[in-house]
Amino acid sequence: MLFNSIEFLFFLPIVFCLYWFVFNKKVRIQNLLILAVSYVFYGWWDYRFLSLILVSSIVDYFLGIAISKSDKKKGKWLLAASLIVNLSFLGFFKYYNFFVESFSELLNNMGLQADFATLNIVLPVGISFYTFQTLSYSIDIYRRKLEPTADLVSFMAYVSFFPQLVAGPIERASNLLPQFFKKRTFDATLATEGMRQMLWGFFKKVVIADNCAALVNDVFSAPGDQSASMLLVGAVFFAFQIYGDFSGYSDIAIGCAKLFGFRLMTNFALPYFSRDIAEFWRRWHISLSTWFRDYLYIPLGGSRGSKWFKVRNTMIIFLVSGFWHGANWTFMFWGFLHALFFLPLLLSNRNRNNLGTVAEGRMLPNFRESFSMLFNFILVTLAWVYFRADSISIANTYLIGMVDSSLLSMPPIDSRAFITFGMIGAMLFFEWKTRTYQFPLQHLAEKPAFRRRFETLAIIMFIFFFGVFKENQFIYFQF
Amino acid sequence: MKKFLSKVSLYVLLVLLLHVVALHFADGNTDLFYMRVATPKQKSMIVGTSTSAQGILPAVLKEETGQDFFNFSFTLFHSPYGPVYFEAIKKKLLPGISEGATFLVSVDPWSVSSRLENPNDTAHFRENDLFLNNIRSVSSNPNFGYAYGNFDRAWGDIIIQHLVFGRGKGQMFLHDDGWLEINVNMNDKATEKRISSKMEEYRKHLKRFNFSTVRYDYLRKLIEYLNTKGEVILLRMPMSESFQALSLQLMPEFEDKLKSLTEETKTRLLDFSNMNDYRFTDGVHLYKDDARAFSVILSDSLKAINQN
Repeated sequence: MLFNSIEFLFFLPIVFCLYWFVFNKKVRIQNLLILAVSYVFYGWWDYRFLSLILVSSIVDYFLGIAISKSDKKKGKWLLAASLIVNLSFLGFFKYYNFFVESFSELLNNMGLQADFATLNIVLPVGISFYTFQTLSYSIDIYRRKLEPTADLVSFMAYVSFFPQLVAGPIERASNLLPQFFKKRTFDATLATEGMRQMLWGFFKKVVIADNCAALVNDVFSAPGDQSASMLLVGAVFFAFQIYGDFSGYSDIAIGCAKLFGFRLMTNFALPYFSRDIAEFWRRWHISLSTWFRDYLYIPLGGSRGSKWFKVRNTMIIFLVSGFWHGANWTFMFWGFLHALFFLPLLLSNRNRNNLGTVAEGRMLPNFRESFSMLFNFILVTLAWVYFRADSISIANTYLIGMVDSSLLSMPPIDSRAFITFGMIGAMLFFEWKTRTYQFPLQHLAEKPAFRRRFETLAIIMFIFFFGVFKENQFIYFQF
Repeated sequence: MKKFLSKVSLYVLLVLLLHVVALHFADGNTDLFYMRVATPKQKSMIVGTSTSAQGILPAVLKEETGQDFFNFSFTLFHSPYGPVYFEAIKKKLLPGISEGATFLVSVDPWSVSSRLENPNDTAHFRENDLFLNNIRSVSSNPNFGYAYGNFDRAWGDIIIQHLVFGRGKGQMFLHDDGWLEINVNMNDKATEKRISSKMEEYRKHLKRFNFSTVRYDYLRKLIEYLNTKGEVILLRMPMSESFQALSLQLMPEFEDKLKSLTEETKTRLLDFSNMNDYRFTDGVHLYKDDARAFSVILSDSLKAINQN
């Protein structure tokens, strides 16, 4: 079920009441409830998906225990088994048709007749996310950074925890799993913060993302028919659609988890205020980028070694990251572009220049910071065109179409698009003002009651007057 | 916990209240479909796709024949003949009718065709994922089931549209009797552009649509069902020549099939498909003034049938 659906509107309060009023006596019972409702939540998409997550959980539970009891050599084989099982599921469901079609095309281009049958495979929702989550468990045990748990219920609840199951954040076992071992007691402050974060997440999803979606779909469906200025609007709107959609979902997930006494990791930290690409990747989809850093980049050698070594590792990381997003060359090319943007910073040791908050202690950024943020946003938006387009050639057509004198003409946008622009501006203003907080409404905890109520009501009214409630799926569900 | 729950409840109540207020303002400006599912159950109905939705004014039929009709036509994607539309029509009908009703069933090749490799694959019919298949009631006012999950605009917009536009002043207005009034610029240039765009759309449809025996059977089933409630009249709407030709390309045997259907089910057929000297907004849909004129002609035919 989607967060922005009627079913979830009923599901959440029922689960909340059961959790805090009925199943709150012991931690084991709390976890059993979490496990049960998470499976209901996931099975709502398609009950067949449950078998996969069940198998994945059980395999890694037993392998985790076995790895911890083994020596390094045997542990390596057991870890390999975990990797093979999990990545095989992911590979088959997500990439089988892609590889078959690409292979056929390659052979056909070489003049060899090839027509391998593709399968009608339904991609299980969230498989990319929970697979990485269980893999991090196995790998951390192998590295002796984590002790395995003997508590199967807690482990399965950790893997299937419904707020973050289908689109992250990808939680590390060292952060989330211990929270299942302690009985949660109701914390009104945390729950209130959770509600505020969910509200902000809904704003980004239904006001920003879903309003951008209408124009983006029109423009990207026929880029050849659009003026350059309209293509620019389409690209910018997509940049905010994917931000609103994905970071909105993360906020809803994190906020929802807080209602049940859990703290998940931050997944987005105002990425469009980044001053360079390196900072962008420290702020965008943090759970994924840190996962790749810790489990792929660093084992490959990271940024130690020769220049060629750094280039190789960077390319691998970004290409794999692109590939993780989907079985299409466009995602890999998107990853490749980001690698190209990142490499100059890495090779000149400037990739860790902007670690703090931009314009910290000041109301406005200086000229250099403004220029950097704008330039970085332009690079990221241009790359998003490849992410969104159905093929590389369509993306190329799109970008070439933007190089035209009609770029200076007024795009033929309607009042809804103008309003959406206004909402984007309002969101950026609000995020800028509260940029030292995890999410904008978090600052309300320090404000007087009138201000808290006013801002909360204002967001509710924005959602009411401008939010689209047709059940538009979150973009990242397809990954 | 108590303080938290009471605060949350207040906000939730506020949000619910806002939604109730918004639906109170819902009218023909709200969207293309809401008023059809927020009006009471009906006796005599017009069913079909957007050609009949825009082309037949129940108000004119009432004026001319004295009979109340409700236009329960939707679009080529929402209401082709099939299990979903069949169930929706049944839900919209007043219970207990056994005679006296009149049903105008608009038919064309597109409404009995599917855009699938297997045109009889009911599991993948195009209307399955649309609202007629996911709402419980088609006669509730307010209709929360439709509103939650099927409005593609903001709830606040319902209030804004109502206050800004009023009746029939926006680009579209869905009347309480189900007639969809479309207000567009009918100058030659604008009309040509729309016709060209529609023609391109239908040419694409032609490559993918195929006659569906399942849909045809559901049309027959619908006629037989409605025959138990009153009189059924099959109807072919006027369409411009070029689109008529496209329709025949899709199904050259359509007229023969229709003829045998009328014979099997003992229904009358009113065929206005060759009346193409009306103005069409896009080659397919009658312009509102011409829809009015056509409704008068249709009324005359209905009166003639009643006299016989």
